[in-house]
Amino acid sequence: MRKKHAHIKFILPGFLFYTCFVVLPIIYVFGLSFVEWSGMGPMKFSGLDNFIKMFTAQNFAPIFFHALGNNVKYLLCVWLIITPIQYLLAYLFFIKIPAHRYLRFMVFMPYVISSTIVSFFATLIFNPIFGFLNKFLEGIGLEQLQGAWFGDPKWAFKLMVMLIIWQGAGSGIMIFYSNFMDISKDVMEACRIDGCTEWQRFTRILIPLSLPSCASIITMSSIWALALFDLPFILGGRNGGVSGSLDFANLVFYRYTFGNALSGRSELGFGAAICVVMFIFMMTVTVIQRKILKKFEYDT
Amino acid sequence: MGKERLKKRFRERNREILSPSAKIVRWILSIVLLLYTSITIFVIGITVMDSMKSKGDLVTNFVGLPKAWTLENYVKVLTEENLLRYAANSVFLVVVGTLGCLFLGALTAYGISRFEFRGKGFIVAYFLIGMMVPIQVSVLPLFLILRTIGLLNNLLGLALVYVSGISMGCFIFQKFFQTIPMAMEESARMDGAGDFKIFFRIIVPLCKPVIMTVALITAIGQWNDFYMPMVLLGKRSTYTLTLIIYQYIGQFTKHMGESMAAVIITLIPIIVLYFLFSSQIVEGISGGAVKG
Amino acid sequence: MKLKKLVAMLCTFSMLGMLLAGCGGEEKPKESESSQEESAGGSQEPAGEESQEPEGAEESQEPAGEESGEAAGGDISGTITIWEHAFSFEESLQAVIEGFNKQYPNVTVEYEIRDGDTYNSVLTTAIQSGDGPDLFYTGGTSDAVMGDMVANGAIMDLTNEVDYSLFDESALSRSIMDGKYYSIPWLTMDTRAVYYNIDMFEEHGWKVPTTFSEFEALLATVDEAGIIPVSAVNSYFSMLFAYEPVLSGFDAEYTKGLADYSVKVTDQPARDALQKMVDWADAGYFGDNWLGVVDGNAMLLAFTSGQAAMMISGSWDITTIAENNPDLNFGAFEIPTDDGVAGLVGTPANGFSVNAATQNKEAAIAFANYCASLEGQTIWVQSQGGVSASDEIEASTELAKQISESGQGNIYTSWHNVITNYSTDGSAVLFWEENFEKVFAKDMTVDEFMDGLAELMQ
Repeated sequence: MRKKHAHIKFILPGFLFYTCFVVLPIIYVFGLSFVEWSGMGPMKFSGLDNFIKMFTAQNFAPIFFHALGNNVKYLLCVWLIITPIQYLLAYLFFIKIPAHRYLRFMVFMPYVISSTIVSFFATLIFNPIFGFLNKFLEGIGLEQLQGAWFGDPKWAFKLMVMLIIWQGAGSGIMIFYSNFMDISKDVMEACRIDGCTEWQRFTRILIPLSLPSCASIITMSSIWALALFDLPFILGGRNGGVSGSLDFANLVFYRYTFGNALSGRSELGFGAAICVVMFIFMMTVTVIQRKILKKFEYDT
Repeated sequence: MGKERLKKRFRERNREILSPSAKIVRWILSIVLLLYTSITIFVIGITVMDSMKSKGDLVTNFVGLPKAWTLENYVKVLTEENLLRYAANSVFLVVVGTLGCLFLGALTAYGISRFEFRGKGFIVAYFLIGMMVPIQVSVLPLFLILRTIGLLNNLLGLALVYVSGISMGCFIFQKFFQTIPMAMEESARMDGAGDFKIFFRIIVPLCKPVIMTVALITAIGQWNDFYMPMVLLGKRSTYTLTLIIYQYIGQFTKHMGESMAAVIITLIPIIVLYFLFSSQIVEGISGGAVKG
Repeated sequence: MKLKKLVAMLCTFSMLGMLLAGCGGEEKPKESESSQEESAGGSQEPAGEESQEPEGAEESQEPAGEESGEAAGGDISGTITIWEHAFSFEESLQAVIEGFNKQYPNVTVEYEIRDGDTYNSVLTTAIQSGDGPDLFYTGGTSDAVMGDMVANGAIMDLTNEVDYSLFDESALSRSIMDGKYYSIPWLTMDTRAVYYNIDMFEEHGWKVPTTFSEFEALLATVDEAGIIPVSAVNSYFSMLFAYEPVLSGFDAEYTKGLADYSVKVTDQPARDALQKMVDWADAGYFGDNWLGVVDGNAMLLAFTSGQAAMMISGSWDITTIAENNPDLNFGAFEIPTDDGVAGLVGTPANGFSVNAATQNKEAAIAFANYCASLEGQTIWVQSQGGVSASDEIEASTELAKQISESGQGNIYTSWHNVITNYSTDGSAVLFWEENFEKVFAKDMTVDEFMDGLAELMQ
C-alpha cells in the first residue's frame, strides 16, 4: 500500500528552494507593477496606471506591440523551422549516418560557447566593414552582394534565426536523441524483421514514441522564444536593431526598467508591468499548447 | 534479460542492411553536415590563430596565418590575471549548482509524476514559472534576498540560486519518468522497498542518459552565465571565469589578443568535458539497458 | 493536505511581506539617521578641516608633511567599500587606493566593479536596503540617479566635509545641486575629438581641415579615394559623440548658447547639423553598410585596422586606440567652424559620492578628501590617459594635450546634457534614446525627431 502523502517528501525540498529563490523574486516584481518607483524613496501606489499606460500611451504601445509581434514571428520559426531541424538532426545521429560521432560532437559544440563569445564571433563574420563575409564576397568579385547584414531589416531577423540554430539547437537535439535511445530495442528490431521501410519506421514508430519529448521540447522552446533576450540584445543593440527588426518584448522591458547605464532613469514599476503582461501572455500560450499537445499524445 | 543475448542483438542492429539509395542519401546528408560544422571549426580555428598573433599583426590581419607565432597572450592572461583561482570559483559553482539542481529536480519530478494527488496540475505549472521569466527580472529581488541572509558576494549564495533553478530539469525528468513502466516499482514495493530506495536504486539508474543530458545542459548554462555573477558577486575574490572573459571582451579593442587567448582558455575545459561526457552518455545508455 | 498547502502559501506570503517590509521599512529610520548625521556633520566641521590641513601641508613641504600626514591618517581605521561602474576604471581606482593607503595605512579599502547596464539599479537597490557601499560612482547631475538619492537623503552633503579648493566652477557643474556639493569630480575631460590616421593622410596628401567646409570637402575626397572617411557605429550614444562636435563646428555661436539655455536644443542649427550628418551617411561617408555596425569595438577596429581614415569619438578612447594597434600613427583635431573657431564639447567627469548611511564616516570622508586632492586627481587623470581639465595636472599622453590645444580654450556644453537638464519631466532623454537611431535609419525625419523632442523640453 502506498502512503497517502508520499509525494510530499519528494516535492518539498525542491519546492522550498524553488519558492525562495525563483518564485519569491517574481512575486516581488509582480508587486512592483502596481507602483510608480524609480528604485529610491517611497513607492507610490498607482493601481493599474502602469498597465493602462502600456496599452494606450502613444509613444509606447506601438513599440511594445511591434516587439511582441516579433516574438510571435520567432515563435512560429521555432515551431516550423527550428524544432523540425532539431528533430531531423537527432534522427540522423540516431540512424548513425557516416561520421555520426564526429558530427554529433560538432553540431552540439556551439552550444557550449557562451553568448558573449558567440556575439564576438558574429561580429567577426558579419561586420560590414571588416567581417569575413563581406571580405569574402569582395574577394570572389561579388561586391554587389555585400550587405549591412544585422543592420539591414531585410536580413537581420533571418540571420538571427540562423545563428540561433547554429548556437542553440544543441540542447533540443540532445533531448530528442536521448529519447530515441530510450525507445526499446525490441520494438525497433521487431519493426525491422517485419520488413517495414525506413520511412514507415520513422513515421509509425519513432514519431509517436518520441511525442512526449517533442511535447516537452516544444513547450520549453516556446517559452524560450517568448523570453528571448541575449542574442538580439547583443546583435542589434538595446534599441532592437534598425527599424526595430530585432526588437523583442524582453528588450523593451529591459530598456524601460533599467533605463540607460548613462542616463540612469529607471522605471521599475513600469518595467515590472511589462514583465507581468509578458508573463500572462506566455502562460496563455503554454496552457493552450499543453492542451493541444496532450490531445496528440492520447490520440496516438 | 541475458547480457549475451543483448550484446548479440546490438551487433545485429549495427549490421543493418541498407539499400544503395539510402546509403547515398546518408552520405550526402553527412557531407552537408560536415560542411556546416566546418563553420565552427573555421571560427574557433581563427580565434586560436589570432590568439597567437602579436598586437600589430592582429589588427591588420584577422584571418590569415600569424606572421610570427607567439604565446605571449597566453602567458599574459595566465600570469597577470589569477585565472586558475577564478576557474576554481567557476568549478565550485558549477559542481555544487549542477549536482544540487539535478538532485532536487529529479526528486521533485519523481514526486510529481509518480504520485496522484490533488492540485497536481497547479504544481506542474508552478514549477514551470521559473522558465518563463528572464533572469533580468528577478536579479534585484535576489540581490535583496541574498543580502538578507548574508550570502551576497559569496559563492555559496549564487550556488543556492543555481540549485533552485530546477524548472527545466524538473520538466524534462517528469516527461521521462512517465515513460518508465510502473510495474518495476510495484514489484520492488512488494519486496518491501521504501519510496526513496526505489527512487535511488531503480529509477535513477534507469535514467542515466537523461540525467547526463540535463546535467550537461544545466552545467553549461551555469558555466557560461555572466549576468548573475556580475550582479551577485561583487568582490574580486569571488569572480568567475566568465566575468573575467566579459571584462576582456568588454574592452576587447584594448586587449584583443588577450581576449582571444582567454576565450580559448575558457573553451578548452568545457570542450574536453563535453567530449568525455558525450561518450559517457552512449555508455550510460547501453549500461542502463543491461541492468534493466 | 489542504492544511499543508495553506501553510506553504502562508509561508510564501509572509516571506514576501518580510521582503517588502525589509526594503520599504528600513528607509524611514535611515532618513532620520541621515538628517542627524547631517547636523552632526555641521558641528564636526572644524574637526574636518583640521584633518585636511596636514594633507595640504604635505604637498608643499614633503618630508615634514608626510610624517604629520601619517600621524593624522594613522588615527583613522576601518574598512570602506567603493563601487565603480566599469572595468575600464579599475586600474585608476587601484592606483588611487594605493596612494590613499600611503597616508592612511590603517584603512582597508575594498572595491567592487559592477559593470553593465544594471549598475544604477543595483546601486539604488543596495542603498535603499541600507547596505550600500560607502563611496560610489554616479553620473552626477547628468542623470537622474544622484538627484533621486539627494531627494531621499541617501547621499552625504560634502560641502563642508571636503576641500573643494582645487576645482573651478565648471569642474563642479556635475556635482552641485541647490548650492550643495554631493560628489567629487575627476578632472578628466569627457570630450570628443576627430581622430585621424596620420600615415594615411600623408600618403594621400590630405590636410587637417581648418574650416568646416574644408572638413566636408575632405570627407568627399577620402570617399573618392575608396576609403571610408569616418568610422561610425549605429548606436545612439556613439552617434551623439559624433553629432556634438559636428554641431559645434557647424555653428559655434549656437553651441555656446547651450550653456545658459539661451538657445533651444531643437533650434534650426541643431536640425541642420543633424540633417548634414544624415546626408553624409547617405553619401556613404560612414561606409556603405555602416548601419550594420552596432558595436563600439567594431567602430574602433575599422579605424585602427586602416579601413577608415577618421573616427569621431570620445577622448577616453585615446588609450584604447593606442593599445589596440601600437603601430598606428594617429592624431586628433576638433572640427572648426568656417571662421576657424574650434572648441571642446564636454564636461569634467564625475566621480564618487559618499553614502549618507556609511558606517565609517571618518574613513569615507578621508578618502573623499584624498580624491579631491591634487595628488589623487593627478594619479587618476594620468592613469586614465585622458584629457586634463585642469592647468595644474599635465595630461599623460601627447594626444590628450593635442586635443586640448585644438580646442583653443573654448569649452562647450554638451547638447545631450541640456536635454537631461532642461526637460519638462525628464522624459526627453528617453525620447532621444528611443528615437535618435531612427533618424539615421530613415524611420523618422530630422524634423519629426526634433519636433517630438521640443514637446518634452522647457
